[in-house]
Amino acid sequence: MSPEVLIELQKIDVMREDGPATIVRDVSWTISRGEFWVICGPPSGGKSSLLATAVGLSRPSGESLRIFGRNLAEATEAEQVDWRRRIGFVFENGGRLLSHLTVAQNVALPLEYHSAMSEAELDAKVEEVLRRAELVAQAHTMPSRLNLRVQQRAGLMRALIVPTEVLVLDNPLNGLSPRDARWWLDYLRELQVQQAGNGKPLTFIVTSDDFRDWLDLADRFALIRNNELHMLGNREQLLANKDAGVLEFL
Amino acid sequence: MATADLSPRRAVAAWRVYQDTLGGRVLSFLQVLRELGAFAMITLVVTLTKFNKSKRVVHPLIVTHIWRAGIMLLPMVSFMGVALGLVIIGQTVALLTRVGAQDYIGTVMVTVVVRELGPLLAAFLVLARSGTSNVVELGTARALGEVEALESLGIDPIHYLVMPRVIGLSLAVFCLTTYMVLIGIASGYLFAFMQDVPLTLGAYLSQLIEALRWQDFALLMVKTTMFGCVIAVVNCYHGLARPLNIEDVSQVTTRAVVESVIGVVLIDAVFLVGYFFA
Repeated sequence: MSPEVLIELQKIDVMREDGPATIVRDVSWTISRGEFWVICGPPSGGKSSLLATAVGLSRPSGESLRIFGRNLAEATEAEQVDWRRRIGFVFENGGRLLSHLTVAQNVALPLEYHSAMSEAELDAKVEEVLRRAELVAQAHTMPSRLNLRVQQRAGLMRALIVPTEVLVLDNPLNGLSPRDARWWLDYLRELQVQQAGNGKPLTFIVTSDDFRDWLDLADRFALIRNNELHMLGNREQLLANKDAGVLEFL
Repeated sequence: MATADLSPRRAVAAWRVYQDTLGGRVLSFLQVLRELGAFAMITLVVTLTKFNKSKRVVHPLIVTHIWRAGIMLLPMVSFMGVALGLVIIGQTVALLTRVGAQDYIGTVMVTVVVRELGPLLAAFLVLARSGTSNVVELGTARALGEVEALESLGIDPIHYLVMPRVIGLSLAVFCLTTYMVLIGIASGYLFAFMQDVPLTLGAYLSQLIEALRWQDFALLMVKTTMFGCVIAVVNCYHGLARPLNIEDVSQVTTRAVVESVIGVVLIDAVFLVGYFFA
């Protein structure tokens, strides 16, 4: 039985946020449950815009974008809110925490907004999540006073505090030390195994500047080159690829 | 000589450039008006349909904005209210007494303070303090991508960021105006008393009561609420509506303040007409 298709792009043009220019054209991409995708590409090549478009945060132009089986153009607001709850998005360079909330408040926000949990349950859940991320000491600190490493982890915890089916990570290892990058990879591996064990495999979509960091985790690879998204297949196919443009990211 | 250089062809060209510029400005103004109207309608729909949604997150934000735009301004409004009463009575009492019209002091206070200067001053104070800070906060949040972050969490930015500000500023302007008017009326009598104007407190209050009509209360409430709405909608629109860079924030703040002042004055002019027909 083939895995369930969660996100499907058919001949979609990815637009820049600040104008009508097409940054990645004619994208046809199917993301199924349990897959671990890594997308590489040059700086300002459209990786972040592609992620935002794929999960419906940016309006695409093109044939169709289906998320959880529903066409974006026909989806109601309630359906789109439901998608956003099921898709955890961690932005690049600090996770875009809300600057007027503390770390704990940022992490709690999606759960507090969408659920009817009591205050005590909410506090307990946030504390548990912060403990896993080793952020308990920074719980009551404002994001502006924290370094990138802490902000990025808080962004990850904010994305995961609500039950998630798709985790989207925009260049999560960018600017991190090798030790912190190792923390991330170990955490994601643990998450992957845990969710698979629960019978609810988590789907990952990651952008990166380097395929090598993800070879042990990911099973699907793609490259943005010359404003197009090229599918590179699985790990074996990626490693067998001798194209200079691909080797640049290996 | 300069005028000899202005041949008819050049004059026509200069006139066309002027027309194009003026026309461009008018079209741009109409475009902004249209976008502001759409933003206001979206905010209204969200307020009506989502007021009680996620209230443990959003209702405290409303209280926060009432505090910031209202309670925090009380000292300044008190000062302005005292000054307003002193200035109005100080300017008019001598004149009215000279012509034997001190019976109209109360009417002057109602007409000037209750109907016009009180609401306008309160609105401009709220704009200066809270309106500008809202534009800066929202513009910075937009520039830093926090609005997209809210959307990615399934949180409607209008529900979370705009609705609390609109309700907070509307209530704040109304309450501060009422407070300022009371302070102004009290300080007006105090000044008249210090000037030995032959006017007892009872007579002063009687004049006020005679000059006040029920329409003054109704129109004051509606007008001040609309002032607050306009200030909040214009400021939130400029902070959120378009993608911004950090360096654009100061520019949009200035634009928001100017447009808010224009909006408030235009509403005041409409209500001025309404007073005549009420």
